[in-house]
Amino acid sequence: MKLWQYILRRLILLVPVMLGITLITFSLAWFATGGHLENQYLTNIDKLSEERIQRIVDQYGFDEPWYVQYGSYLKNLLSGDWGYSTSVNRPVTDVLGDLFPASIELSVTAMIFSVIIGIPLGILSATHRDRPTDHITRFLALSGVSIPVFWLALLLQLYLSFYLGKQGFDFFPLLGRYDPLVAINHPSLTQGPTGFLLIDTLLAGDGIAFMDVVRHLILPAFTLAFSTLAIISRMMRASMLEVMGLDFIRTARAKGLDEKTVINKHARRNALIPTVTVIGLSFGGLINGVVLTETIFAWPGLGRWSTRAIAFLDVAAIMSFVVLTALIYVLANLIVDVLYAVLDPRVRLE
Amino acid sequence: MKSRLSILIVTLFVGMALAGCATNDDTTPTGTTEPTNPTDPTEPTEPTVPVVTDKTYVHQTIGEPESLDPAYDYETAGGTVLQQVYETLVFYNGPSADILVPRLAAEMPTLSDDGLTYTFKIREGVKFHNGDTLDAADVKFSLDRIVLMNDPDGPAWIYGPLKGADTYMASDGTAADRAAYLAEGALTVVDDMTVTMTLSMVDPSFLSRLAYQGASVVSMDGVCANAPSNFVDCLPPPGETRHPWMDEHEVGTGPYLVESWVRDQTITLLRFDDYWGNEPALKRVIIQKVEDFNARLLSLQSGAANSIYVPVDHAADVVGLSGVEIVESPSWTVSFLGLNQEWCHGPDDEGYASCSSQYAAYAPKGKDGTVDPLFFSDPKMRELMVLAFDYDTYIDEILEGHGKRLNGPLPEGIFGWDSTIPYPEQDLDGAKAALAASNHPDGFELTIAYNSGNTVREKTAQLFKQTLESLSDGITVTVSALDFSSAYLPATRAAAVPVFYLGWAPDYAFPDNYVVTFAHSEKGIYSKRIEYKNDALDTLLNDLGSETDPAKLEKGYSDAVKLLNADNAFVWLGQLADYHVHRDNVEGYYYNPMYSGNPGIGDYAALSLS
Repeated sequence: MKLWQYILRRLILLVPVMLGITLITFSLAWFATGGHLENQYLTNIDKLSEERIQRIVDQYGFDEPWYVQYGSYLKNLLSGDWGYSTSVNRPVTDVLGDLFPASIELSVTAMIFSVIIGIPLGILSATHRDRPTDHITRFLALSGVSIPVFWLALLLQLYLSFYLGKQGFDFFPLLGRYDPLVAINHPSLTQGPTGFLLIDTLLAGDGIAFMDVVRHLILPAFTLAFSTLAIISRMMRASMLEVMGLDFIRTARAKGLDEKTVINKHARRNALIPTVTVIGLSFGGLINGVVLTETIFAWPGLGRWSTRAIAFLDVAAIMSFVVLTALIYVLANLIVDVLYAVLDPRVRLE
Repeated sequence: MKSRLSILIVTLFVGMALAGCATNDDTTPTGTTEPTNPTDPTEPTEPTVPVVTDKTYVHQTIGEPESLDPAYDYETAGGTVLQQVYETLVFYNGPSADILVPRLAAEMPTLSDDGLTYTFKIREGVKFHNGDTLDAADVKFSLDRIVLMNDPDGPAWIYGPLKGADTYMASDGTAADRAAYLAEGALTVVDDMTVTMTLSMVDPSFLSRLAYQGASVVSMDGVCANAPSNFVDCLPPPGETRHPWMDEHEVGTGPYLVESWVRDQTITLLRFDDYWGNEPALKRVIIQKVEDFNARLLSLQSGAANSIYVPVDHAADVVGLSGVEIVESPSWTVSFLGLNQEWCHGPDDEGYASCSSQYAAYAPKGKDGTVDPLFFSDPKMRELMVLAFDYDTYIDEILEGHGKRLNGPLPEGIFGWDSTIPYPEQDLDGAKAALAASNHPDGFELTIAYNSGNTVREKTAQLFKQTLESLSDGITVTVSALDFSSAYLPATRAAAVPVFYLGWAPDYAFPDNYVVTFAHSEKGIYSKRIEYKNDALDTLLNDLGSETDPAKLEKGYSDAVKLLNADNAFVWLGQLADYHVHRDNVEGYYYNPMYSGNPGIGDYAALSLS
């Protein structure tokens, strides 16, 4: 099967997967509200008369059978009406438009950190097995999965931003996506076309704003990346060790190739395959698990919104977040599968 | 080699552990904690005129506005912004919550002999932020708008006294209903700069209601120019209540305009160059949303923020910090426990069977487990609750001293508050005697509910549990943490929570905003929640609604509070403190309990940075 056929088939299969997910989320919302989805809109019960409540029920069809309500939900989803987020009192699509770029920017940056640090660390660890380098990377990996993300965030904020700032080195800001004082004279930070500030500032050719965004990204992205890079480095190490024990590596060395070529040209590519799986799954997890990082660094992302939505039983927001996250996971897995074929031509796309 | 490496690893671990214990206190405690109080209400003060600068002020807090539309927004974060960018005809004078002065009105209004019609002269030469000039038509449009939009989540109900407004708000809001309200002529343009407001009955609180942000004057042309195509006469069509453009933008006359609003991040206010009044000292104000307290605290200490929101349970973290000032003032927010007199609306209610089945876990019961839906209809049981509560511990330990005692629904400082009304005191012997005389002398089972995550309410519920259970071995109290929206709200709506904890902050500075809310069986909110009815109190409050003599009003509300207290319908917990923290280079701050804030800053136009 050709690559484009494989991608098309996977995209078509996305439909029943998403249908299943929407059915599950709708059912869960139904049971969570006791079959009364109208409760999510009745936030000021003291001032709502029973007649007004009934009007809301009639208007949104909340007294219809559940399967009719599910059908309406699907129809609205496809037409771009993802509901109304009662926890922030705005249409869900508006909220997603504001928060999605921030979350993706942070997650992608974190993933880049994880990959560009984790993979070389894993290779280094494998090629220096049982030597100090290997022990140090093992320690870092253990720290990465052990240290609570909020504690790491607080430490980085306190030491790299606050204390260093008091010493005159204020490169790392305390919080936010950008400095609001900088934004006054650099509109690309608040009025860009995409909401991805790195892109918007580059498009505007605004170097000062771009650097401001980069500085604000470093600490939260590294906080998020730390545990993921730990996992990637350990996976890469294990994978490298396995590959480097195979016959073709011995053959490559026997041919007289230098060690650098053996590792970079022959071993690494094969070792990447299982690591790519971990990277794909980790990306979905980054989108989900950012709430603590977002809270501490005041990062306006989906994590905080979804957590608040859960606390407030903001049904439309919860369902939309689940659907969006499922979509991201599925697409991430698709990219991973495609990468397999790119990395290893022997992998046949079926 | 391996042992050296092990030592290195252990050292690193210990170092990181110790790092987590580091504090960030500075060494020179200079923070002041002198509370400021509102000035004597009989002596209005002139606001000082600060020097105009190009400086930017940054305030970090936990929320952001829900909407910028004064006809809809009804929460504190939005109120803070609305009070900077919009203005009302009359407003409070500096820190005084008792004295209203003309703002967009050229002078205080005249009142017709029958007390029903206010005539306002509009201030000349006032510009809106979009360049329009204020006139009487804008005033009429602004108030008619909030009535006709009538969002149930908004502050429209405050303007019910306008002629025809109550009738309209109770209607279906059809085009015919709108026409009928407009035909009543509650708002009438006399000439370009004169407007009259006619009420359906005499209401001494009306001017106070006009000071609330709901009566902010908007530019009619600005609103109409940005109305969607399906709007009718610049208003949402019948059945809808929101104006999307107005939710995100403003067309006010205030000293600041909204320069930008980046959702979930910052709202930036820019000094309005054509403001009719004194030019603010600060060129910009940035209100930044930062939910984590530690991040806010670090920002304050580093100077990245000029002021931050500090919840009172973090007060100890800011006391003594170098370069920081604390201003604590008595707010007008009151906290209380409601005693539900008819659980699930009582056994005669048609929904009682399903309610009592669904919420059986919260049912008040006798010692033998028999459900008693009229548990708090027993006056002795209510008396027991009022006598048993440990008020001093609540103030001293739970609020950590950041509050004061309450002697009724009215907070100290508001017009009508009577200092001679005795404060409830804990009397355990009296509580035991009340128990012995009650319908459940052998004991009972009771549930106290609070919304989960609120630690103050949790501690209060636990305190009450300990006290009640100490009265008799037959008493069992269950403290229930209910998720706010999925459990607490529906249970409260169903009247299925026998004892609930809530708070109330004023919308306008008049006692009926409190007393009616708690006591009137038809017009109240919490009175209906607990099925409380006292005919004499209803009659008294109805009479007070049209009384204009201040002396009679004071006596009347005092009598009303005494009647309410005699019925022991609520347990009055406390009047909360406003806790404000800023850097010591901030000047001009003052507190007014009627300003929005969580707590926050009410009047940025009065601030400057030295």
